[in-house]
Amino acid sequence: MYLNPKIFFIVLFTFCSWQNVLAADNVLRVISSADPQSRAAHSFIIVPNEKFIPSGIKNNSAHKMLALQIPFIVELEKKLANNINIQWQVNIPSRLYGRIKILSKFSGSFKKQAEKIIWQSDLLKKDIYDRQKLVFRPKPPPHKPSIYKKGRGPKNKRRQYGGGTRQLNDQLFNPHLKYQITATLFNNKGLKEVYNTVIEMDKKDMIRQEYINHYEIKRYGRGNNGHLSVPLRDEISEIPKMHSKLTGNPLTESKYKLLVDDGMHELANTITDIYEKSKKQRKNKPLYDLNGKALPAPNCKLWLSGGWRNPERNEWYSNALNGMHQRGGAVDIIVTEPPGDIKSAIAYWVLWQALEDNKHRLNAFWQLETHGRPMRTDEFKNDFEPKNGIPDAFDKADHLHANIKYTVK
Amino acid sequence: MKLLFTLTLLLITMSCWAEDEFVNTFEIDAGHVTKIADLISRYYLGELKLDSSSAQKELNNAAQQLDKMTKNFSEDPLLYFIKGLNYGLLSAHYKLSDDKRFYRSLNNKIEAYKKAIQLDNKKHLLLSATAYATMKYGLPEKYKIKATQKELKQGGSGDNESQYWYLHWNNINNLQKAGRYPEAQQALKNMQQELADEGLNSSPYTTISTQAKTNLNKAIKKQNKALEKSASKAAKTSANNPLDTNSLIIMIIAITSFLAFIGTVFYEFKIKKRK
Repeated sequence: MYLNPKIFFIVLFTFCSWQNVLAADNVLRVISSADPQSRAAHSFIIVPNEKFIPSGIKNNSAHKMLALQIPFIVELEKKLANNINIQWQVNIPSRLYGRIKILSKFSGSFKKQAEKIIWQSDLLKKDIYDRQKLVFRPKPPPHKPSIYKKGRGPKNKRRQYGGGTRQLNDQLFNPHLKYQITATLFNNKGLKEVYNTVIEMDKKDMIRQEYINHYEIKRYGRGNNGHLSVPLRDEISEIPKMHSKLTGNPLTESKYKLLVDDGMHELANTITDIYEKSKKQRKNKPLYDLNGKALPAPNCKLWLSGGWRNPERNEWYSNALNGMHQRGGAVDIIVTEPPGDIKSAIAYWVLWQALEDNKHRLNAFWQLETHGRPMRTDEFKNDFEPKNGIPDAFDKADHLHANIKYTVK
Repeated sequence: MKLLFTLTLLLITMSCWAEDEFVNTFEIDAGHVTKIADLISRYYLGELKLDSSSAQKELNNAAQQLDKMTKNFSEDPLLYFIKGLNYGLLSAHYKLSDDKRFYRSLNNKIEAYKKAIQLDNKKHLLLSATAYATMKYGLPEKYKIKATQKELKQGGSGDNESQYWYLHWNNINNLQKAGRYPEAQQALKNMQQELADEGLNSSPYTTISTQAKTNLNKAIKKQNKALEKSASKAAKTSANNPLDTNSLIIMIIAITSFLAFIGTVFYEFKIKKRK
């Protein structure tokens, strides 16, 4: 077997470079967070100094205060000879991420390069105190809640949710803060060794950061303050599989592909089971309208229209600043019939009655809603909008909201 | 002193909070009628009980004020919307006790809403999607369709994506039920186009447009069948009837000719007699 020398050296070079990269990871020790899970992922959250924010969002969580943000520490764990100088560099990929505050005692300077901001230290000789350790804090601009314009915009195009307030990330997550750190070693001849690492907010911490950013803000300058706890990393999970008879959206439409599930998955499944069973039963035991006429059993499925909402998404879609959709304990369900049609009204009535008959199975609260408001009690008795033998509550319903019963607010 | 201060602060906060009800619910600034609009909104949202004695007094007072205002500002769709909302609540209140007042209030509600829909006809609609969503229930078909279409034009009022696409289905279904099939087909095309424009052709929302299309096609097929049936029935009826149009014409010509012949004979006889 003949081995081409060119290919051999290319492979060898690549292998050595890869080893060098691996070595870099071991040589640069990173402390990005007081949370061990965030630290292991080189991830972080930013907690404002002046705020005490609770953590643990689930109903049964042990709630405690979020630890304040510790500064980032990147340490070169390699003994340096006296003739070796070191230079640190921090690349901030977007100006929208703001700057950083250097806490190390050595000096450096900022410069702008296209969309990036780069901080570079001076060349640090052996006598510079603690030169092998770079300590800094992130300094992003503060979050400002958006006042979204809905409806139709220019050229009659419908305004759509655009992915959050600042859209810092090209995948429309936000805020996606990232810092690329480089330690470059120089000897007398100018030869270099380069070590790189990245501190980057991962998806779980980006979600948690949204909750932090929405704590104690008002929507449109009025109303209640945001006061939801920040989820723990363990409270954020993958999207579970949907019930086979439940159509529509997954339990979250958020682009993170992660969610907080505080019982909403089980709730959605139980409601679907109850409804499907009731549909079958209604074929032999129909519901009667207010005039005593038997109503045909519905044939339609249920559609999941809302589950968990991350706070940025909630800012667009909802008036409820502290709503349960952000806690992962609520679902919104629609019947798959045209709204305003009598078939839709019958299906909502069947669903409602089925839930009422199965209260013992559901440790939950539910209500029928129309355009963001719950039905009033009188609407379950009235029949004039329209007059068709069916209580107006079911004629006007556009979804069923259900949530687990919370013991902790 | 502290207690007085706290109470004052509480009152101020409550009044500020109360001032937001209408705009929070309907996303329209009520301007000079904010106070009445907020009160009505609180009944509408169920924060105040409709079966209370104060409800009758407050809602009737509001009705009187709004009746006066709509006389002075007869082109303002917002005033008519608020008036309709108020009468709707009054009808719900009277439903429990007084049939005559119930029907009067209900009728006033419908007329006010119809007026609001008619007046809001400029390029940029004044009333919000939520306002239209509120009005459309219980209206005559033509107005229900208009309200739904204007709700759609305003981008829908739901708090999730699904409700917007279900609103499209609502519109298509309304037109279908009214027998306005060409418009229903166009509405379906618009929905499909919008789904494509927003890059949602692979989303769950396409199942809604598919269902709307299936229902519409079924309805059109049913109508065509009914038309065919009635056309063939009409053809059969005329085949069994001896006095069809052609036969009638021939008979008329025959009778006329016969009468003309009799007349001619009689005339000649008379002339001969004179001679």
